[in-house]
Amino acid sequence: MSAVVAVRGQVRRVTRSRALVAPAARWGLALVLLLTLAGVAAPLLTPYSPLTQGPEALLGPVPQHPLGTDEFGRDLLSRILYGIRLDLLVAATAVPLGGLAGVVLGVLCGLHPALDVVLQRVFDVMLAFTALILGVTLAAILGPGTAAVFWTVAGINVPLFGRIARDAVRSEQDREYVLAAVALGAGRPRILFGEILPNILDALVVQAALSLSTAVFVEGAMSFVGIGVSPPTPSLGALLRTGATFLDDSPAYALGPVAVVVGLVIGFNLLADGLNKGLLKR
Amino acid sequence: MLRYALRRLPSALLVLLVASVLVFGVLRLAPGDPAVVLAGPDASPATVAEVRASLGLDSPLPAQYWTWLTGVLTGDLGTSFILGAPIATLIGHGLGNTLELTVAALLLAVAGGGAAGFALGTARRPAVRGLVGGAVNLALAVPPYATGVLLVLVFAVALPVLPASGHESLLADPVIGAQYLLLPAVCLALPTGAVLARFLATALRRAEQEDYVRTGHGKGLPRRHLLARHVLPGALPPVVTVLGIQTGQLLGGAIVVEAVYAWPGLGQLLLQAVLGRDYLLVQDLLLFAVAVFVVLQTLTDLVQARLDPRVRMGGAG
Amino acid sequence: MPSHTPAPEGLTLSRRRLLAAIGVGGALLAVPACRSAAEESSTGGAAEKGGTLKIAQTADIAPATLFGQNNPNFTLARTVFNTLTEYDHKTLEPKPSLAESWTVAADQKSITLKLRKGVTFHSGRPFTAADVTFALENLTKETIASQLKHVALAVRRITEDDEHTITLDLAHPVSNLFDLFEILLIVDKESIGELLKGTKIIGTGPFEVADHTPGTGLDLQRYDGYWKKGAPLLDAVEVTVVSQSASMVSSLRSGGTHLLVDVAPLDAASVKSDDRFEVTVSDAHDSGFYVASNVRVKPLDDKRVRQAVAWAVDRDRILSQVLGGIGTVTSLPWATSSPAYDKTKAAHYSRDLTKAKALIRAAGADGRTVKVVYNAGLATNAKIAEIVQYDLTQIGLDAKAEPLQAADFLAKLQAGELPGLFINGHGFGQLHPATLVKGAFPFNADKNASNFDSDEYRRLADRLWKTTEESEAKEVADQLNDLLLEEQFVSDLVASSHTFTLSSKVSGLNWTMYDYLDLDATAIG
Repeated sequence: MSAVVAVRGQVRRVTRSRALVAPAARWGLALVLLLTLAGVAAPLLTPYSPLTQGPEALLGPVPQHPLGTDEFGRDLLSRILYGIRLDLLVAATAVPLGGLAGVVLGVLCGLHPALDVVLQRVFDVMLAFTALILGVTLAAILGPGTAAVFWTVAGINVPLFGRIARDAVRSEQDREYVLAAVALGAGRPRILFGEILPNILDALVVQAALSLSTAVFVEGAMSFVGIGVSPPTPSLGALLRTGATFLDDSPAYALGPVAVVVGLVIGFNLLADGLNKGLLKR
Repeated sequence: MLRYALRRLPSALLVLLVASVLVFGVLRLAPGDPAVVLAGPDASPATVAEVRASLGLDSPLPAQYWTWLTGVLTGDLGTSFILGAPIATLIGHGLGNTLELTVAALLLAVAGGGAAGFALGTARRPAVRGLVGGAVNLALAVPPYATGVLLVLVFAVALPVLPASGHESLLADPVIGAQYLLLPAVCLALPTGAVLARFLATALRRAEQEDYVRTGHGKGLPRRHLLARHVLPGALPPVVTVLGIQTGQLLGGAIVVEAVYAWPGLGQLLLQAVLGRDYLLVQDLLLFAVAVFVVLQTLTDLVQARLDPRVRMGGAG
Repeated sequence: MPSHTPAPEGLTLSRRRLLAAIGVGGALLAVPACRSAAEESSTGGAAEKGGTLKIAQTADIAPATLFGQNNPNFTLARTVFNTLTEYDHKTLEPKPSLAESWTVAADQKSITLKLRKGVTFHSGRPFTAADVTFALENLTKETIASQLKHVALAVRRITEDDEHTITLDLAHPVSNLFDLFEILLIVDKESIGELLKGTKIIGTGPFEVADHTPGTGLDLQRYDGYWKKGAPLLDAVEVTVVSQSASMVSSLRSGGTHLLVDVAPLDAASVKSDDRFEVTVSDAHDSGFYVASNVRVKPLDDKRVRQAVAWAVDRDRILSQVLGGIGTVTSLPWATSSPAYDKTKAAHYSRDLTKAKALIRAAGADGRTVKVVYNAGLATNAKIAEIVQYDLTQIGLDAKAEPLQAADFLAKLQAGELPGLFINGHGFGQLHPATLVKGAFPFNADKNASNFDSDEYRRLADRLWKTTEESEAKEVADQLNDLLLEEQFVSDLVASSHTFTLSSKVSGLNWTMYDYLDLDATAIG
């Protein structure tokens, strides 16, 4: 995150230390990195495939299976670690995709007042479908699955990023550097994408951190209610869904995914909070 | 004020109209056929065709859309393909249960969030602020499905004092009904309460910086008096606005919480309808959810405009 | 806490109100201490007669599908309606119900039924032979689905000899005629349109419908004009739809429900050890789970691949991890009660990865992609699919689990368009074998979900249907079993049963051989 900011550092002299100046940002980043690393290093941390079934179902924690096994005798630690991978993969692809689409649309609002009105209404309609209502709608069309989660996460980010970009473009249009560029004879699209966009990166980075948290949240919610990632693929929400049905016999089953989901959501939230303090509240 | 309201109206209606086309259109793209579900297992193709015709699913799409839209506008929501019941009845039944849950959650959120926000905004000891602040952040960040599972684990499995899931009518048996209501209501209330707490705390801190409050301090008025008479009233309007927006989100939250606790409300009805491909019911429910959101959004805008003249003048934005 | 100090006039009211409020609040606080929804203790002491039985099931009744076997209707079919005869569970001999006696012609091509007198519908109208004629003709309609339709179509002529005597002339001897009489509900012909819509449900059974809220539940009350003297014992029955199996169990625990129909076996396990409840396994054993192939989809068109699937699946793990040990592993569709059941042949397939791999190699199907499709709405099927999918990856197939929503799954099943292997359940293994091969869709020789088309199979199914000779039936069933084991368009995995999980306060629960609940003698106390 901070690397992206640093690339554009010369524009606003945003430095790595500025982005992470708030302790919340550092704690958040540490938490997220730790869990990401666990997901990435999954094959090194556990000898089992998350898919290998066996006769020993619903074991509690034992030395060979630190978190026990699921109802098909699969190792729960492996399933959680590979579940992190899936969640982060969806978050890390769908958020940029939706964000990019939103930013392009938002900046386009600055091109012509009529376009602005139309795109504003598009954002209104998209926002009227709150995250889970959009999820339910997409699951109805695509069928429950990872694809439905992916498009839901991408979809909710379009108006969020779109509004940030649009508002920024409107407020920055009268600033000196823009007026200077106009005086130098730069074309409108060039000004929008070349001059204004780099200056709203800070706001976009904060939103991105928040959106990653939402992405994990949405995957969990959709899979939990049965319209998200479906078996045998492990995802945090899917694990939580089945884990919740074995609370009587095997409480450890649900606790693992709960801890990881909470860790990721809180981690990204802290990061967003901290970045917000470091970058935007000047 | 009225002029502002009238200016907001077309855009809200436009959003609803576009949403209705989307909701109608997208479901037709999906695979699956309600007629087959209705015809039951081991039915012949002829049976299925007949059922399809009886549902009006064989007429052209624009005609189906028009029939649906005029029906909704005249209060006729149609009949559920799968359940065979008038949709108005089904929504009424589910809405009752969802409202029961939502109202309970809102009360808890206002009480809990209000107390926490007040403590956070006015406490002077850093330890108190740290503790309450931490709790609020936690309540805000932990997803309701995770909270739900944890609550069940603690209060239904470890110390079995409350039922893990299900619903009993609060009217028929208030004592038992309330016990079924408690966990889901708390689960739904936590994030809303946390948002309220945060906003209230910020608004309180801001209000305490206002000149008239500072003057009061200067005049030596007791802080308790100032807080109750001047700071709190000053902080309330923005909090009310946030409450409006949060209420619009509660229906989405209810989908998850109802799933955790098998609460027979609109969320469960929606999931069941989506999975059973009950077109008309899904359409009506999605449109209903969008409409609730848009109406609350518009009302919130109006309240805001009433509080802040700049919004009223600034155009429809 | 009442105060005796006289209060000023203006304060009295508010004070009294306040006290009342404190009293109510106190009561509310005090009561939960003894009444908990988490563990409501058994109250006991209720009378033998009377009371309301509360039932929970996962899906609502579906009146439009009442004429075939459809699980949600278990609580409706034999409580509101009656059938002509009912099988004895031990001997499988038909016993009188609305038909008191019957005589079959020597050539087996005609039967005369004497109907019970003094039976009335809930509308008050007396039951006569015309109602039987109507029920039979209704079943032959294009729009009415029933697994026993082929039998109704074999009835050439119906003669009402008098008000309570009816003769059916058949096109040929029909071996599963009494399966029809077991499933054929005698409905009120005057309200058939409303019945299909679910708005008016009228039969001759022990209970009449007081209220039905689609998707939510059904209220039944005792029908005082019921023909069986002294029955029913209960005053009323309430059926509630609880979509999640786990919450059905918590409702049973709290005393909110007395009887759960078809709780997922793993959820039922949590009350098994509690002596306030019992899990009753139906002796009808008509719940078979299978994996079948669409034989038009490559590589499943090759029967060696289908046999490899049958060798690959770990049936024991399905029985223990999914079905909680309820049932027996099997390779044939029949329950042990069926005349076609053959112990040796039922044990034909068991997990043997070496054999399975060899068959896959021989068929050249190594590494081929196979979809394992299931109805995402049915938790048990989804779990079986998960095991099957994994087992198939172990024999060199690239197996992909694919959940379909209920509507989508059923549509494709109906049209024979499921894109590969599919997991599902079937009934009809418990009674006459002809009903399975002529009427149950996965096996129907004339048209089935697998698109399996074989003259030999059709011929055997037809012979089994038209013979009433025991020795011939045995011989044909034998050949049929060999054909099923060889072709494996359907691979049976476990012969399981429907379950009734009930509070120990409930006594006298019965069910028919189609698992329709019979509450004539049921009591709470």
